Amino acid sequence: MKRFWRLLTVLIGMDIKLRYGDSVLGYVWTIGKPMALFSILYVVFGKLVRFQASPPHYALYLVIGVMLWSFFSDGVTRTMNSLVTNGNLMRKLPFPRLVIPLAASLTAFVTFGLGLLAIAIFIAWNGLVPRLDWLVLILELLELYLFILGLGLVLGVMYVRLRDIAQVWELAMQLLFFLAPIVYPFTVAPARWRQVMLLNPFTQIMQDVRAIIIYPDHNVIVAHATLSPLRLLPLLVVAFVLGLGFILFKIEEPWFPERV
Amino acid sequence: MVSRAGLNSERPVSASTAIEVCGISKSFRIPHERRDTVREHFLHPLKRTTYEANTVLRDVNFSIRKGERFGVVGRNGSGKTTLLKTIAGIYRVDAGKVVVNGILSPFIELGVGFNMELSARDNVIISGTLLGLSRRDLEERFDEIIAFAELERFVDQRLKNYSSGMQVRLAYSVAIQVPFDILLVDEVLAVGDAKFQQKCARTFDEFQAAGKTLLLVSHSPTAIRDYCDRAILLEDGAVVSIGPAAEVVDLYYEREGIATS
Repeated sequence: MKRFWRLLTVLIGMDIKLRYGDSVLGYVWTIGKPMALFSILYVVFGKLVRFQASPPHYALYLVIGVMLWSFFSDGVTRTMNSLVTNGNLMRKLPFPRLVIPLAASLTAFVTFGLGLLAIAIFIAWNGLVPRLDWLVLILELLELYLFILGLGLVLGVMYVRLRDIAQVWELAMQLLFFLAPIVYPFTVAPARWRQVMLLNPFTQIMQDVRAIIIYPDHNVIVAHATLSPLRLLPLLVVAFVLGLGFILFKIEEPWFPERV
Repeated sequence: MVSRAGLNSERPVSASTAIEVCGISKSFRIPHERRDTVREHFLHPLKRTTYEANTVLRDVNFSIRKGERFGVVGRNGSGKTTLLKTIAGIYRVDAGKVVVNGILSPFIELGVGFNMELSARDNVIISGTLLGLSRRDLEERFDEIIAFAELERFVDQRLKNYSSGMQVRLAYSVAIQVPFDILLVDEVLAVGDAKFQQKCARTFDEFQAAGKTLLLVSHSPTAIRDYCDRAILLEDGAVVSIGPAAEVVDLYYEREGIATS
């Protein structure tokens, strides 16, 4: 167990080093890229074309969406690629293979720390005061991480066999970006559709995070406490994807060195 | 004691045995027409991919005693590296069983999985950790690893700037710092320069004196003759001969039609 943890930390360190080793700005890119995306979206949808029912604190609304989205897309993509990019290690050394996707997804989590910092700055700027119920955010982020890990495992195992998966995922990301209310207010979608959209755990998590931080009247804790079946559905989706990911991984694991 | 999946029933392995290979077979599935992309599956949805089984190991049996220096000879593609990988637990066998009695350090395909974009220092830490060295082990042995590879001047350079010989030296230095009982060595002698070859040979002697087991794979028969007690000859994945290294090497020369000196 101690060895597994040590392996994990060493691989995370390597991932981070490899990603920024060659660039001049290094870690600045981690936050620079999502901030650039945020700025573009903010100018287009916050200034040029405005939504009819633009949510209050739109900048904060948007920055939360964009930061969570970059964590999600970056995390899934890294985890998916990790098995193929580390094929060389698996072909030469015996070690628990699970450390590879775990390290990749945790690297994304570590990198997301800077995204959280950006959100914190916007919160302070908007004059919002932290409350005790913000602790629920930890659970929301944990749920998001588990969703990323699960989806990354499913896609990563498939990617070893079928290299098209990378292209499919790239397209899927564009679709998911607009299917989730990252840019637009959730109320743009008809009420019936909102229920369907909330089946996507990413949408549920993002809306929960926004509700907790920006719109405290919309009480998420109460909603969770009542455990209405609709609120449980995205959690079930996460559990299903994560379980599927681990099962597929266990089935395919012995064949990675010869197929990767 | 670690035993790997197989069909044979449990058989007691004596305590003096380091590696027991019982009737292992391994084949790789090679699709006749590679269909790795969705497009191909769409274009020919009814055409089923047919596979050809490329059998690389055929019912291989042998056992290595503790402290023995054991060689594997054979042509390129005769299954030597695949055999090492099944012993190291990297490949799963189709049939048979491998029992490894002790801690194993693999040095396969001239490396321990280095990353060319990282420095020697980082690579030593990563490979060492993957091979089971703790943080303290690594701190204690780091200087020794670099010194053995004679790369003190290049510790913080990226591996892509290293010559292939330098990379092999570093990989071997890491592999031998694992507190192993059994060392798997794949062709190290073929790459290093004369001085490094001599150094390797000296480590082989030290390992033997310490009672460690060495499994050496080489397509160079002289290396097997010089450094091994016993050997097997692999041909097309099957064991053709097993016995004293010199005899096996002579047979290899004979079958290849090379005159021996």
